[in-house]
Amino acid sequence: MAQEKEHKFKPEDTQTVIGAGVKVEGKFMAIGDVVLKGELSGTLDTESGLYLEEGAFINGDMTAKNASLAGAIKGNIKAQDRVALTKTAKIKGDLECQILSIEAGAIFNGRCAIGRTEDVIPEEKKA
Amino acid sequence: MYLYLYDSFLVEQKYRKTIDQIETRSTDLGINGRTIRLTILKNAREVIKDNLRDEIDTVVVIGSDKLFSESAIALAGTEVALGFIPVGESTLADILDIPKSVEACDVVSGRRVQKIDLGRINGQYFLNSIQIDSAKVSIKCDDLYQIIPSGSIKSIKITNLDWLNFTLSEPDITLEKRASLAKDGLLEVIFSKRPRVTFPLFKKIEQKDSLFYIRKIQFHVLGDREIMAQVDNERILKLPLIIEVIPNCLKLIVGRGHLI
Repeated sequence: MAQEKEHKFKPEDTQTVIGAGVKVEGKFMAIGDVVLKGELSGTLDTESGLYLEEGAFINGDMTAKNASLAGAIKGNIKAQDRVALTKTAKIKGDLECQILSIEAGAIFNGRCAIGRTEDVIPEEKKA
Repeated sequence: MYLYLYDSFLVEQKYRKTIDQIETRSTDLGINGRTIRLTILKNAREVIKDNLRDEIDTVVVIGSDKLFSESAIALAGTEVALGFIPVGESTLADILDIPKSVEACDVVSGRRVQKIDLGRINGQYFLNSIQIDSAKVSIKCDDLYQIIPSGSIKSIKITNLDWLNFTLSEPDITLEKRASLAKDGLLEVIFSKRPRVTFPLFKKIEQKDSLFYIRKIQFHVLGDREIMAQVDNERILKLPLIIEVIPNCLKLIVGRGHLI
């Protein structure tokens, strides 16, 4: 019998699309990429990428591996790797990531921590 | 040992030649077995249950998607593999990469087995999908979040093994999902808007809005109107509904290029 290998779950197999026709409320958790074109109230958590389209809105905190943000967020952003704010992005909240790029025109109102904390020079060595 | 279930419509004279070819080919391949010809009065589920007591390790359905889905449900949770020889119209054949009629005998003989999920709706199994043609519902997913459809949403489809045909083409992301993945331990949920009518041909084009992956989803009616759900293009159930996925529930024989 040619029993095939057990299917390994791949995040790219499950790309969630939250369209403009729906609103999500609560604790949204995804394994794969999330494309958000509508509205989400609560928290968003994904192990992959978040693509926040222009006109989309998150009211709450979000965590992702990477985030490309063209919509609005009222809440804190935490990315393991990279965050890109495009010219239409409107962010009100704190941001934590390894690499940040901000396009001219983006609005960002909050505190920002970029890079690994262990790479920060200790206070005593500065003198 | 193989058990062959013949769909009731195959008694028609026009299928005689096809059946003869299938029987000859299965004998040549050494996969012939017991045959049962179903009638309107002979239910597939009862026939399968009666025959599972014997040493049946493979059930092969000859006929329609409907009989295939019924047989899948009857075999849920067993170690018996399900094969398919589609005769006539079939949408599942393309997903499973099974050719029509006699050529499908080679796929059955090849015995490429995949263990797939089944869905369960209000305690009853389903194989393909559930369609709800209304958005006036409250939707709770995985006991974690709610989805609130706007007035533009006209239908909701929950799929386990079916076509999705969901495409998204944005500057920074492209997505094309042809069929649902029946092995991922998840069900796909698609929200569609009212079809767009093209000019000048007046062709209706379905507009798919959202795609979710869930393990469990609950539907309740908003308002007084009764809302129905169509299960596997066959059964009709009234809301409220609890739909969940049952992983690794069925052994299926598929073709090399299957989409699941």
